[in-house]
Amino acid sequence: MSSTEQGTSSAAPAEPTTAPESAAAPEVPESFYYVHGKDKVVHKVSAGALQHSALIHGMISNLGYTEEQAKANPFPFENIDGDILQMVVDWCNQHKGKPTPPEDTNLPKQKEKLFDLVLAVNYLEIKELLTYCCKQVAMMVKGKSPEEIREIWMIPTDAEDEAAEKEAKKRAGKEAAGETAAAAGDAK
Amino acid sequence: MKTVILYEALQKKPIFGSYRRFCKLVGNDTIDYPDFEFWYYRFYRGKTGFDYDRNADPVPKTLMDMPVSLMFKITDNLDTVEKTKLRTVNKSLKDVVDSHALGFQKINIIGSDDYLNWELNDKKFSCYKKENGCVFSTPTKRIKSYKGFIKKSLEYLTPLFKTPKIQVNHLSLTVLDQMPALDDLLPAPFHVKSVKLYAFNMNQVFPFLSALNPGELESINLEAIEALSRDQISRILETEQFKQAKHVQWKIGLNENDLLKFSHLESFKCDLTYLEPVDFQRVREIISTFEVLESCELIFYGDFDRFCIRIVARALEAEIPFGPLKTIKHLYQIPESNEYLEFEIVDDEYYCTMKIRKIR
Repeated sequence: MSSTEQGTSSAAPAEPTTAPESAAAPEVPESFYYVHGKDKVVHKVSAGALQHSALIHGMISNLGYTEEQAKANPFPFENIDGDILQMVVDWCNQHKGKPTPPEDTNLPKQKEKLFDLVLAVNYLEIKELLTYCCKQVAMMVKGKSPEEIREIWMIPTDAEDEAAEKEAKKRAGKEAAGETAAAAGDAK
Repeated sequence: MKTVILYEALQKKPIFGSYRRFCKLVGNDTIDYPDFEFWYYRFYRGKTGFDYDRNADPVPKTLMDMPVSLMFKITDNLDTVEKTKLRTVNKSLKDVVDSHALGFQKINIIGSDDYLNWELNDKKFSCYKKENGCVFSTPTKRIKSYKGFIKKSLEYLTPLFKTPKIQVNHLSLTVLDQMPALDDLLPAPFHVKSVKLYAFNMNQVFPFLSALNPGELESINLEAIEALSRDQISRILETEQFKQAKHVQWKIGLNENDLLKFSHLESFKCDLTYLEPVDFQRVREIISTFEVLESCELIFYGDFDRFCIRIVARALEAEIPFGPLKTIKHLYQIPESNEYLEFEIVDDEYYCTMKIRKIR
């Protein structure tokens, strides 16, 4: 679906990502922009695909880049993992200029990936994908007892939280006392 | 250990069931669910090597790392019962759920000496008394407990009803035996739009009725198996809940003096007393003074004979047609007004119903 281009980091060299061309090419050539995530791998994405992201769309509108300027200045998203940005780019390409279906069954099933995707999509303001992702997280909660939810999501009970907080305070107190004693020893 | 996970992943069975089987086979404390999930999906995607070191991986994010705005979006996809469950997981999730109104379309509760059943929207729960405790059933589980059935039920219901911003469109509560433990079930003010309370004795109804938020409570439906005493009737009539209701259905044994207290209602359905004679012209006169009334129904048992329709029609000086009677219609112009009361008196063999509609 998409290839990648080497960024400024030591990431593997590759050609820029190209969005899929439709069979009937538009008369006006489509403009492309470039984005990269934490791994500095640059993805070439069409303006049409990027319209899904309110954040990037806003940036494009404000900057008014030419093709060359866009290529020279990829949008950096250092807070998004490379594989997650790849997922987002793929989704935007797949849904370019199409009405979004009521459900998306291709979202990651592994919670860690899904959470990273939710946070990235929220940051990039991709409304439809965020709706799908939040629904997917909710589906993981559905039908589970509170104990199972705690187990799956590693959520401590309030009592465990309180105990951990007390323990942390105790440790911090001990460390502070130790530092004071050491400082007094040094002064002597 | 990883071989077992690989086996489960290759089976492509739902992951949580796989984890449960794994714990049963290898032991509960062998691996946490998130680690199991990592390996399961790694194997699932075809990466079957066992030598990946997870120590270099960043700390995985959890549900608790989600910003509150996203938690709201996530919980928007859960139905009310799922939300009530989520709020019992821990305080942070409770705060998320509690920050929005928790609306139930209907809650039905039925209690007796040996069971308590409840229905939250379309989800059914039950708790049955057993020799050494009870059996508690939810839509997905059946749990045996050594606790008494009322105690076990209240462990579920009390926190649910204490949820702030809980709103119930229709609450139905049936108490077939003496169950004083349920008296404090509803915290006041409890937000309900329509209620049906059915009890063995009307005294059992008061704790529930008095907890409901007056004014917000629009419809009241009351019924007791035991006949009502005059004291009980007066007590209900004096409640703010009754005084501010719009619609009332009540098996009461109403007399004319009671009827005077119904003037604020838009509609009501009651039975007239059979313990004393009814002055139907006075009943009609009283109803004609009710300004907001749209319609009402009064059931008359008479002497439980087959001719009560004639008794009512005659008393109202309505025109009685010849032959067998099923329905008699009668139009009454309200004195000094252009409004009418339309009576439809329907024979129901041993009683008759007066359906009265105001025509403006």
